Amino acid sequence: MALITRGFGSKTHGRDTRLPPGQTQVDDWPVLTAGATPEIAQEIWEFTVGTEDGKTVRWDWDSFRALGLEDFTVDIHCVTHWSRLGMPWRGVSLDRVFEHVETSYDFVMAHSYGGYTTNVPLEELLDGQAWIAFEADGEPLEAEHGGPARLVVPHLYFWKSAKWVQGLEMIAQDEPGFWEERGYSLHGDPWTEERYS
Amino acid sequence: MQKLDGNVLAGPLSEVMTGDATSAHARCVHCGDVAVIAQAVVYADGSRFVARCRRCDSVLLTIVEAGDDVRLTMTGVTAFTMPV
Amino acid sequence: MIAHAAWHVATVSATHPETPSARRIVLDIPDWPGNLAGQHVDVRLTAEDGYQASRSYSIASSGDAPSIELAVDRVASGEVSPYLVDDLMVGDQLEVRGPLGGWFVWRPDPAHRPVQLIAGGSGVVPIAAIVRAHRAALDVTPLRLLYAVRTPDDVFFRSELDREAADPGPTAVHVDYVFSRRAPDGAPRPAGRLTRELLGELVLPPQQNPLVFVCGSTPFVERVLGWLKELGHEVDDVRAERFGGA
Repeated sequence: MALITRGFGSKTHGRDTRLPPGQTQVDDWPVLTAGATPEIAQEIWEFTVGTEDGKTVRWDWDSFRALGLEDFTVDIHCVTHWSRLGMPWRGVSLDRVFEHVETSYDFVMAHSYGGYTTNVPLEELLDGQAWIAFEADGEPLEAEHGGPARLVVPHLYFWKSAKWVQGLEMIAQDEPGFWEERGYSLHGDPWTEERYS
Repeated sequence: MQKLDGNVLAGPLSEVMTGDATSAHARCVHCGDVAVIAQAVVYADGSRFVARCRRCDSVLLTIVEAGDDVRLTMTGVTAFTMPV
Repeated sequence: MIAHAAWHVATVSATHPETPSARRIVLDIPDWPGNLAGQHVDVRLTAEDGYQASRSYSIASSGDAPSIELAVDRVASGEVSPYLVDDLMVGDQLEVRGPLGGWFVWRPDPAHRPVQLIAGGSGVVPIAAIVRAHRAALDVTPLRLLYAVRTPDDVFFRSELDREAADPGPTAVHVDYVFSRRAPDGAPRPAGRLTRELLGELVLPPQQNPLVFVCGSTPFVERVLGWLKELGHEVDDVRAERFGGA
């Protein structure tokens, strides 16, 4: 039983109903990075999806964005207890991406430039639930926020929204990614506080 | 995450090791650099930490303080030597 | 010997303003094992709804007393430091884990190896613990402090550092200030940022084989470490501690 410190956290009462439990609203955008920030030029950027038959579907910068850029406004929730509400983004829905992918596997491992990985079930990436984003707050994504492109899965804690995303690998069984292997929840639902495994 | 150094690991590491582990020497398995843990580059955000080699930037170890657990992964260091 | 770290319940016994943005906080900890100069604690705050936040703070005091002194600078966007500076009251309780750290520490030294201290902003806190430990031990080890700070109003531990500067005796610490935004009247140099040239002038040269302690924000520490290396200091003769905003 932890000791409660008088008056700490009381400013969070009168909460916005869009805030999941244990989250505090912020207006800025904290930078959370587990290493040096990779710099990836648009000219060399590519996005790939690898499937069980050994095939890799591959796009370059222009062909990927030609799949269809759209604006979307979502709330994002970081496991470190901050949330940003009503954040404007621009990117390509993963529904557009998976129109070009044949797979029977149900799980996805996202891979990033720099080697980070995170796992997400495929059904949680489809039906307008996830994007590859190129812009946030009306500006191109800065490298420190995952630019030039990051995964955005706003209904899961934000560590699932891999920065500097390079591609998706279809996998048969759910497997832990970098943080999931180190004690974070395999799934990461902010509304049920799936922070740790 | 904030870029800090290995001094900040003293608290989390005290949950899994007796004595001050930030004064321990360790060798990076990637480049062979030997340094004390306090000299590592650490990216920290309160409950999770990634320590990287000051020379080659490889991941030395990670620590997650997850509720009542502390989870330490030490895949990037060898010859971990604690002063006693 | 470093005392084993553990979680302790601490009660605020005194607070007072340190600068317009910082506050000194004295914590009584009945089962505190004592600490060395330069060590830190993790402070954990728990809200009524169970939400917890913890941050590391350097200890400005050292010794065996069952209390510690912190000096906390408010980081406007942080969630812990604004509470500690603006809301915490005498009698309030919080949890601290410590004493922590064994690298960025100094003990009175029978060999009298010269020590150069370099502080940026509120990074002076563990450095002040070293200055105080040196004075308490009446140690004659040569200590020199370079303190980079924005304006005279932002100086922590003003009266104690003034006392060191005014003391002609062998146990006094030599203090140099580098004011980046505004210097006081009569300062030896106009306001301006620390440069490599100034650092070379104001720190003990490598020929004297000093042990160097550097504490400040990450960008400050990394700039200083780069310059020290260029000035010929060995990497392992320099002990650094970086802090972030929280």
